[in-house]
Amino acid sequence: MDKKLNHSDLSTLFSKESALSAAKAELFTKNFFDLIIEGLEKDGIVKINGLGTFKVVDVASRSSVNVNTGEKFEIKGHRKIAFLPADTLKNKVNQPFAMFEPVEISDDYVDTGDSAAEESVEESNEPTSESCEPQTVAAVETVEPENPTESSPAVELKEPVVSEEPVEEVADTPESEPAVTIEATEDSNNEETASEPVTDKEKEAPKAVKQHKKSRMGVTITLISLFVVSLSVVGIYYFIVPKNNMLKRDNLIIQKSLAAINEPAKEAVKEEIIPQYTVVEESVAIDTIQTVEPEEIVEQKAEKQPSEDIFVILPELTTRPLSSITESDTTLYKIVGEIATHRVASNETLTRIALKYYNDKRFWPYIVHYNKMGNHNRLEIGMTLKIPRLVTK
Amino acid sequence: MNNKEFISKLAQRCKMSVAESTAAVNTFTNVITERLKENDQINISGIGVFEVKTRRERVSVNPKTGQRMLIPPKIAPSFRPSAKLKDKYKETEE
Repeated sequence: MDKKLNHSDLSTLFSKESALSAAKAELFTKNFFDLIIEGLEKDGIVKINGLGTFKVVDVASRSSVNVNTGEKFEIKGHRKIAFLPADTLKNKVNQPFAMFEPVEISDDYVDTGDSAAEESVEESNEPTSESCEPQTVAAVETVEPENPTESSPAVELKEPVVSEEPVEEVADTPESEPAVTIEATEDSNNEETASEPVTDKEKEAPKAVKQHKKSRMGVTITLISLFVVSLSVVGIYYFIVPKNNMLKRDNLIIQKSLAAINEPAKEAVKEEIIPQYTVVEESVAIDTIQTVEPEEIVEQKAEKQPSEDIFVILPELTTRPLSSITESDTTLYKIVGEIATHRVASNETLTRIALKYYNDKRFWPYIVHYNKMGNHNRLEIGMTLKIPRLVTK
Repeated sequence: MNNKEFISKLAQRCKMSVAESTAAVNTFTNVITERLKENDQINISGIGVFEVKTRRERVSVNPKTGQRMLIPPKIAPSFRPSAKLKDKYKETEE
């Protein structure tokens, strides 16, 4: 590797390879090259199979510029010796890179072209300096650890959110029942026809088996309409009914409805209630699916629906009840000084830190803003965050 | 001078048969090839240097179609004539 061989080195190697004596090999080597020169003088071209072609090439005269003085001068036409390696020699020498082939580059290729070029540069470095490789590997390794740290807080964050929302939904489920029973009187025609096939599935109403052959279309349409109605009722109840009363009433209503189910005489009431169970289950399922969303979306959601966020604790900063705090309120504070500096521990998220200092997770953007964090998803363990003091504007 | 002439003349000079000379030339080129494969430089005084050069990858453009091609890197054998030989040919022109 990378040795410099001279005439005698070459002839000794040659004598080893062939059966010739050292003296004869020496003579052969000498004559070999002498003959090349002679041939060049005589014909201007010497072709040797397996090695290549030596050629005398004319170089036309050209004008050039003296770099120092700027003077123009002419380089006289001359001849030079060119060597064109034979294909066998070329291929054998190029064996390390033999697997590469020219690649067509499309017009929108800018980035990948660079990366491909870099790759090939690295590979071209490989045979000469293998130290390149470990460096790149190390670089990759340093990049990698960041991802787990990011993802783990994200996973952590999902837990509390998931735990909150289903609880709300459970609270909802009883509400929707009475609401529909009230409205059922209005939509009684539609719902009764629809609810009977559903009760078939539940197998709680044996009488409904007679009406088993009702069209599926009607069932699906009424199911969707029931779903929409229940959702709207849920929404209305959120705005109208105070929370505590709701829970008490809900319990009563659940008992009532259970009692109603037990009574076979009140079939009409039963039919209206049972489909509601199924619909509510669906809505819960959908909501739980929505909660298992990426960190950011969940956070945004929490921001956008503050009125529904019943379970957030009152912030100590304000004397107002939290229920009156809306999204716009979280932008109503200005930053005055600092409360503390916080060192990010593992399993901590911005929302958790905000919850710790402000008793409200929605205040995390202030921390981001105050610390001038470019990418607030990049919260790293050991990072020190300055916690701003917030005062109402 | 083509390969055949070269071999026959070499046979005359080294007092070998043409067959022997052919075999010898083959092994000789093989030796050179093997050395070049190992990244070695073969320096023949008065003639020049045989060596390998690494050519970086490059983007070439087909002037007719404008199609750009990424030409992969390669290792190319090369011969650098000695200054003595170069000068000889420069002078013969004049």
